Amino acid sequence: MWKGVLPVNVEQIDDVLVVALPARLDAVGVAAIENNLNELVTTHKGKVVADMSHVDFVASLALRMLLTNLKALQPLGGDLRLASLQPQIAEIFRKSRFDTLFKIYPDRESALVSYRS
Amino acid sequence: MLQDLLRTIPWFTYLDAAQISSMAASMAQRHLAAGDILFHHGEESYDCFIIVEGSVEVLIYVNGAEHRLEVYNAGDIVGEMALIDRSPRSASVRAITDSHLVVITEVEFKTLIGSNPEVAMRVLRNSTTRVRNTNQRMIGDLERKNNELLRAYQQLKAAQGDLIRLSRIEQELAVARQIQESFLPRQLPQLRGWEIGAYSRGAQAVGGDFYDCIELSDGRIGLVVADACGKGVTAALFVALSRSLLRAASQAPWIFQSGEILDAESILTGALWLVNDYICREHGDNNMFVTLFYAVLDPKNGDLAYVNAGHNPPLLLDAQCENLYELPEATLPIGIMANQNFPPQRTRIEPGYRLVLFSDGITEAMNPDGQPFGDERFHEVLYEDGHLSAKNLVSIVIAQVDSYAAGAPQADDMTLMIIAREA
Repeated sequence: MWKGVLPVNVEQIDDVLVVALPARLDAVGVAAIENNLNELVTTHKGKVVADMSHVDFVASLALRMLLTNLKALQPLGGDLRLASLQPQIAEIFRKSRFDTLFKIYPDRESALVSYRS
Repeated sequence: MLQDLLRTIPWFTYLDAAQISSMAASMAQRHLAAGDILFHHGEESYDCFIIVEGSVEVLIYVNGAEHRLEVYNAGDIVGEMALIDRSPRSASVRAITDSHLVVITEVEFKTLIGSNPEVAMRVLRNSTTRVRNTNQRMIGDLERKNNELLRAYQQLKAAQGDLIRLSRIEQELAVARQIQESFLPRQLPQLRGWEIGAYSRGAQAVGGDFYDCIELSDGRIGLVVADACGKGVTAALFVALSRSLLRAASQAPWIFQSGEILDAESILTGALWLVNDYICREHGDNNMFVTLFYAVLDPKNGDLAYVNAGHNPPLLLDAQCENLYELPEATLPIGIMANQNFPPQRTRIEPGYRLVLFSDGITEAMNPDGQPFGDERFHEVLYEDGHLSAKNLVSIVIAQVDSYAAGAPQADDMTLMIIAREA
């Protein structure tokens, strides 16, 4: 298990790691969590859900951070699925077509269910 | 009885009974509570004191700060220096605990010293030890001060080194900025029946946005607006890379390959495939990506073939400045997935229409309250001032964004290019 000060809220539900991301994922926000999130995810090596319900701003660096974690997990048989995107964040994923890279769910529960099937 | 008390103090050992009794009869005593001052530095008084009970501290003041030189306890003699050399007190003395002292006047002091050479010797030894201790302390203080100065000097030198390094980095950034400016078109193409206005400003010394107008075969023109992930130096390196690759890949078939005129779709898909594949293969580990809108415009008829690789959808403003259309369909940005296809789309810029290409630094410019400029305000400006020339419209939008930001630091690079077709 990862031990240390958590920059993000982390919860393990069965075999799924649920990570709640902070509100502002601008350059500063990303720098604050990037390393720890990466360590967390690569240690877990499995199913991860990023709960984005609090996120109200994403800079391109935040997309890169998510992409980096996705690319780290997939070869290990894991995945990073996104849940609860606020409308303006969903819009950014749509415009950048990052919505084609990630499996995106309306809420945390449906993201968890998707891992069970 | 004071007489009995004096007998227990070594200083009085050699006095005979008569001397002790006469001294006790005339001798004054001082009782101090803890914190009471026995005498002050600079005071002109010439008695000395023998501590019968309690303890006192010798204090000096340097730059307003109190320093304790010495602590004296029962049996110790205090203040004899002023008595010996008749000079003002060299330090202050304060009781640490409740203390009882006997006062030795000059006459009594002489009697004491005269009573036995051993007592005189003792006074001398006492004074010599104090002088020696004071000297050692001063030397120790000097050494410490010297070390502190040395350390401060080293820190200063290190800070100066940092400053020099910083100013060198700043100089290099200034050069990088100049080089980056040379990556923007020196002048925008003059096309009959068209007008192009463009502007780009980085949030930092160097930026992650760029625009370009690429001359292509058959009088066509390539229009590019792009935004590399992040900002600053990392993003600027990717700007340099992708801009150069895109230019080379777009012009090479025309310039080097027998002048065969490719259709717009082939130019777009060929160039983008090459740039994307190169970045993915060579720089994929960085997970850096570039959102990029690339269009080939045929000024003769307004035909526009384009690929939007994950960039903000450009807007088309109609001739009456009443409707804005988002150009549909986008693909993933450049640099994410190797061997990706970039299917081109087609539209036409009708007479009087304007094509507005921009980066999210425009719509996400923040005011001091952290609220973004937003699509709505952006669209309002376009409706309101869309009839102006492309260059003026660009200036007006930037001025509106700056006035909205009201001095708040620019969070992201801003780029805007407007292509207007005459009515």
